[in-house]
Amino acid sequence: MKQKLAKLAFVIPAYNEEETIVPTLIDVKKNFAGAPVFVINDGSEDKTRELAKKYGAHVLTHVINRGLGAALATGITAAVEKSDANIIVTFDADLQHTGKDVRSLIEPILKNKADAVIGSRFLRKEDLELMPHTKKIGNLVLTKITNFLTGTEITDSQSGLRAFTREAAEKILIESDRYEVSSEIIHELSGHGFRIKEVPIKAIYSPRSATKGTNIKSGIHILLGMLAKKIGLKARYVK
Amino acid sequence: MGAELAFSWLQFIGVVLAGAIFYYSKMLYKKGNFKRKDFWIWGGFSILLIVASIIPTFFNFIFALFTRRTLDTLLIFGLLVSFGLIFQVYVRLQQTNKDVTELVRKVALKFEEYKKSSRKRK
Repeated sequence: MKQKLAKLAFVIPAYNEEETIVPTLIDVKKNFAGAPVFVINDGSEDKTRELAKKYGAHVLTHVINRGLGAALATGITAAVEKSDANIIVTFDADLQHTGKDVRSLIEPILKNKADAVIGSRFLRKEDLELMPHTKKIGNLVLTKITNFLTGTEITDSQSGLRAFTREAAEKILIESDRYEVSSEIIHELSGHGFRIKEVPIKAIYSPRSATKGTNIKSGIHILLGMLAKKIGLKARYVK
Repeated sequence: MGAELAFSWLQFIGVVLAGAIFYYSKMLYKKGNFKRKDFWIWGGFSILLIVASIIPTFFNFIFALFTRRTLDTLLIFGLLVSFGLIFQVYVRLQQTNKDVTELVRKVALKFEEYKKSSRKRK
C-alpha cells in the first residue's frame, strides 16, 4: 500500500503555560523539525506568548480567554489556511504528551487506514494507572455517553492528542468554546463519516496538569452540548 | 383602610416602574442600543402597566375570559412572560458569546499575518 508523505502542522492551545510551553515546543521541534507549530495563546496573563514566539512558534493571540474549544478552532483554521500540511496534530501545552507518541499517532493516516486518530490513555493498562482516579471516572462516563450519542467505539473521548487529515480538519465544525470540544470533534468526525482510529499513548501527569481539564461542571456542559448537537439545536455541517 | 393604603402604594410603584421602563426603552432606542421591535415590546408593556396601575380594573374583561380571579391570571401571565424573557436573554447571550469568539479569532488570525509580513520586510 502506498504511504502518504507526512507534512505535519501542530496546534497547541495554551492558557497561562509559561512553565511548560518551552519544553513542549522543544520536544515537538526535536521530533518534527521544520513542522509549523501554531500556539494559540488564549488570553494568557503570563509570558506564554513571548516564550512561544521566542521558541519559533506561530503565535495567535486571543485577546481575551475564550476556552479550549475556541482556541482549537482558531488553531485548526490557522493550520489549514497558513500551512500546506496534510496532517494536523493537536497537542497539549502542559507536557502531558510526548512528541514520540505522534509518530505512532500519524501512522494510520499515512497508511490510509484512518482520517482521524485519537491518542488513547485507556488502551494500555500501564498508561491508565498514571491517570488520577477522578479523571478516570469522569472520562469513562463521558466516553460512554459520547459513544452512545455518536455511535462510535472510542476509549478516550477527552484526549487532547489527535491527528486529522487536512480534509477532516477542513470539514469539522467546532462550535463549543470550552471543554465540550473533545466530544464535539468526535461527533463531527463520525457525522461526516470519517474513519476514526485510536492508538495507545502515554500521558504524563504533573500536579499542575492533574488539576486541569474536565471536571464535574464541564462534564455537565459536555453532556448538554452533545445532547443539543444530537437533537439539532446546534448547526451541523455548515462552514 | 390598611388594604386600601397598600393598594394605592402598589399603584404608585406600578406607575413609577412602568415610567422608568418606558423612559429607558426610549433612551436605548434613540441611542441605537434597542431595535424598533424591542422598543415596541417594552414601551407597549410599560404603557399597559401604567394603565393597569392607574385603573386596576381596566383589564378585568380580558382576565374574566380565563378565570374569575384576576390575581391568579396576572401571576400566571407574569410567570409565562418571565420565562419568555429569560429565554430571550439566554438566546442573545449565546449569540453574543459566539460573536465575541468569532471577533477574537479574526483578530488572532490577522495578528499572525501582520507578524509574518513584518518579518519579511526585515
